[in-house]
Amino acid sequence: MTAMDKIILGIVQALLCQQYAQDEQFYGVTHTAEVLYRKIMAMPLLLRTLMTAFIYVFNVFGVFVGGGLFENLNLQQRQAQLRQWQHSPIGPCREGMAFFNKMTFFLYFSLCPKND
Amino acid sequence: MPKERLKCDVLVIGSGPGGAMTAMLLAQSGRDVILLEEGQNIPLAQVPPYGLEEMDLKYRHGGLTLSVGEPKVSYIEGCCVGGASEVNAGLYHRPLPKTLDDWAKDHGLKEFSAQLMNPFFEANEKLVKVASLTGKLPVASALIRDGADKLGWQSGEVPRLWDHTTDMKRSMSQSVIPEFIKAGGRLIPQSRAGRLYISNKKATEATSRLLNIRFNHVFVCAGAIQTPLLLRRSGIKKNIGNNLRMHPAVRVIAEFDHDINDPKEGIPVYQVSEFKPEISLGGSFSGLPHQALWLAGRKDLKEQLTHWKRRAIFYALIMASSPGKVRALPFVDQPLVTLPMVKADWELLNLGLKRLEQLLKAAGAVNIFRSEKVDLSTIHLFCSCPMGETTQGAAVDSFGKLHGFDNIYLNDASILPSTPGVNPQAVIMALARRNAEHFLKYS
Repeated sequence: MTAMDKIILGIVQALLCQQYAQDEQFYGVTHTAEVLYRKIMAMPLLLRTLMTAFIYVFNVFGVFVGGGLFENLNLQQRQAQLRQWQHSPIGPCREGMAFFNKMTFFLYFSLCPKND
Repeated sequence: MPKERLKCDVLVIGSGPGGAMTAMLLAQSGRDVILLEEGQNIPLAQVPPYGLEEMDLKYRHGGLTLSVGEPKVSYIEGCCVGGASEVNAGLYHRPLPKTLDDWAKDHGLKEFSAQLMNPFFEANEKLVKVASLTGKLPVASALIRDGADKLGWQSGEVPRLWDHTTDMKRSMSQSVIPEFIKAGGRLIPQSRAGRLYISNKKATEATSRLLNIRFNHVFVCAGAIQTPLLLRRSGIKKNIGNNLRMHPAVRVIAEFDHDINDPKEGIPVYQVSEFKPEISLGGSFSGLPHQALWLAGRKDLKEQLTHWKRRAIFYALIMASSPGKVRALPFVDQPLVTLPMVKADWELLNLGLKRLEQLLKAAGAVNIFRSEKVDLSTIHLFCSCPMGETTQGAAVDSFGKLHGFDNIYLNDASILPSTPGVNPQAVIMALARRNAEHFLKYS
């Protein structure tokens, strides 16, 4: 699993757990993260580059929230960082999180029809 | 690996409604035609519509494409044999006669009027089987009709390219492309035209990763984004990609007090025509994943989604007036697309949203959910290389021939002189037929 895979999985787990469960290994999480990674890699170059930069900056920001990279934080710390970025005064932070929010739930319900 | 060398009389690049129609008519008249398509050739029945698999297999970049600058508009492009006709709802809508007559007047188009276009529309409608619904009106369509009736607004069913015997859409891969192949045309999928080589005002050769194709004439029909991109990459820039237009749409989710949503019913075919061509109101595909996409970000998303069968997604779509641009990014084979909106566009969009909410309330909606930030999207892009004789910004003449070149023709959404105000598929196909017949007569 690459660093990017791990960060995306962490974001997807934290977003889904905000709504659906406290157990981060519930059905469909890993598959959703895998497909989201694939979708990001299929984006046009400019968007993909921006999104990649966003993901790595987001990962490093974990240091300020929980003293480590986002991918290594526990679920509560990751959710705290998500909330911070979702309500950030900085537009690109909010927009990046909005993208992950939309795609995570779209993919989760597309891939796991049982979830309805 | 050496490239394979091919020759033909006419090369058609792009197999969407414009390219497929052009290629079929030329092949049927005995021309030696190659139809080059970047995307895969996937049977229509193989992939369920409006889902993730379709996005992955038939949309460019998996459906995640966005304009740059403000506002950011998400747009989609079909990338498969049949182009946009494979991924759209198949809605077929002739533009208002006034729109076509205005195009003739404002852009000095020769031999062009609503009346002169009629035979081309009619011939296409017979070929692709434009059909209305049979049986009971689906629930979401009935809601649009009922709301409009209560408000005294005009509404109506938009016919579709549909075959009731097979209950399948008559996309290009189901209708026009089989006729092209029957007439001896050669279809080459999964081959992206990289650039055209020009010599003495003539294009002589097109290259893709594995092919060199020499030709006498070329029709570029790759759509409103890819057509100007290919031309600009080939060094042709005059009036190319400067006038991109769109129909931006905003969406809301409306909740009713009973179940109204059956994804098997597809996209509602009813639209409010009262405010056309400036504003159209209608319904979108509203499955659970699509509602999750629009509601994501709400704290109570889980609770909200439990009501998804009582809810559906509806849109207001407007004619935007400000021109966008398509540019070729240096060193990479990708476009940079801008789709600005001026104040008048925002005002029209707000009016559209207000009218949409009026409609839904009249139809019995108990709740209407707007997204917190306006999410603009469009599936209708055109006019990036417009037709015209009198306007300074025209890229092609009245019959699609590129100004300043002897054998390059454009025949797709890019040549519309201005925004049609309705789903553009019908007018793209009619123009393609008209221009192909003109080419056959005079070339």
